Parts: sequence; structure tokens; C-alpha cells
Amino acid sequence: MRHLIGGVLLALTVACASNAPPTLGPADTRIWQANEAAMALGQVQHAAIELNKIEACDPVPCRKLLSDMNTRAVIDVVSPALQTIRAVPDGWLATANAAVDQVNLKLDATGKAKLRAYVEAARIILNQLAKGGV
Amino acid sequence: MAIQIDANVILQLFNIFAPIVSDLVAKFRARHDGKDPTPEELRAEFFANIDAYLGEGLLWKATHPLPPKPAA
Repeated sequence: MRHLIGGVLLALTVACASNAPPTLGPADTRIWQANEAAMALGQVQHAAIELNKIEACDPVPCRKLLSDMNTRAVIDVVSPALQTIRAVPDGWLATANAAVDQVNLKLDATGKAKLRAYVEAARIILNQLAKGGV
Repeated sequence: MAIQIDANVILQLFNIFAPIVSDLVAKFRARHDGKDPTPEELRAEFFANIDAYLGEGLLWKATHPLPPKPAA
């Protein structure tokens, strides 16, 4: 099921992306890219928080799909990155890539497995933005 | 409060909360009769999106305080 979820997410991610409006100048195109990067990071955080709300009870005992520790780790990485992108939009690529790397480093093995599809989706978006696409 | 759920429903929940990194401009056009955003509107959306995610993180941390460390 994990592969199915990952496939669905990646397909939706690519399908929902589009090019920056041609009417934007270079500075505003960078804002557009920074916004897309921020949303990619924000969605990783959002996914973590939503998974943290869900308890799976099969098999018992019940446990959260994503632990508090892993959820906090994601927020502790993503929030400073978002603040940096907000303050320095031109640095969106380095900031967002570093944040994704940090998320991968700080999650435990279970957390990595649960969030892998979301982190990969964010990485794909960032790579496409860096190439001037998306 | 945590939600208790059967594992078979998880896929549906993943779909509901799927991180569709939707395009800001497409959303903007949908709200504004298909017009492109002005640079000012684009910046406003940028800051609003970031603030929304920051707020979401702050709210979670406020409702999930770190457990006290055991006394040494």
C-alpha cells in the first residue's frame, strides 16, 4: 500500500504543477518559485501533523501513525526554513533543500517510512523548480 | 484528541490529506476569474501561505508541550 500511496502522491504532485505566469518579471518569478518551495515544505509539515492526529489500532495497541517526536522534528526543521524563505526569498532553493535534508536526518526509521512519499514529493518539486520548470 | 481509526481506512485519509502541492497561480485564477496575479497580489499570497504554515506548526507545538524531563 505504501508504494501505491507514493505513486498517487507523486503523480498528483507532477500533475498539479504548472509554469510560472509569463507576465511575471524575474524578481516576481523568484517570489513565485519561493512560494512553491515554501508550499512544498509546508505540505510535508502539514502531512506530519495530520498523520500525528491519527491512531492506528490494527494491530493493538493503538499508536499514532506519526509519533509526537517525529512530528516535532519536522516542525522544528520546517518552521525556521519557512521563516528564512520569508525573509530571503531569493535563497529559497538552498534553504528548502537543506530543510528536506534535515527532515530526513532527524526522523527515526519509522518516521522516515511514514513520510517518505511526502518528502520525495517535496524533493521532486524543488528539483523541477531549480530547473526552471514546475 | 487523537482519532482512532481502522488501518483499512488509512489510504482514504492519505488521499484526503495528500500533499498536493497545488499551483498558487491556478488557485488565484480560480478565485479571480482566470486572471493572472499582479506582483503585489503574488507577494501577498506568498506571505499568507508561509504565515499559515508557521501558524499550523506553532499551534501543534502549543498543544503538544514537551514532557518534563525526569529529575536527575
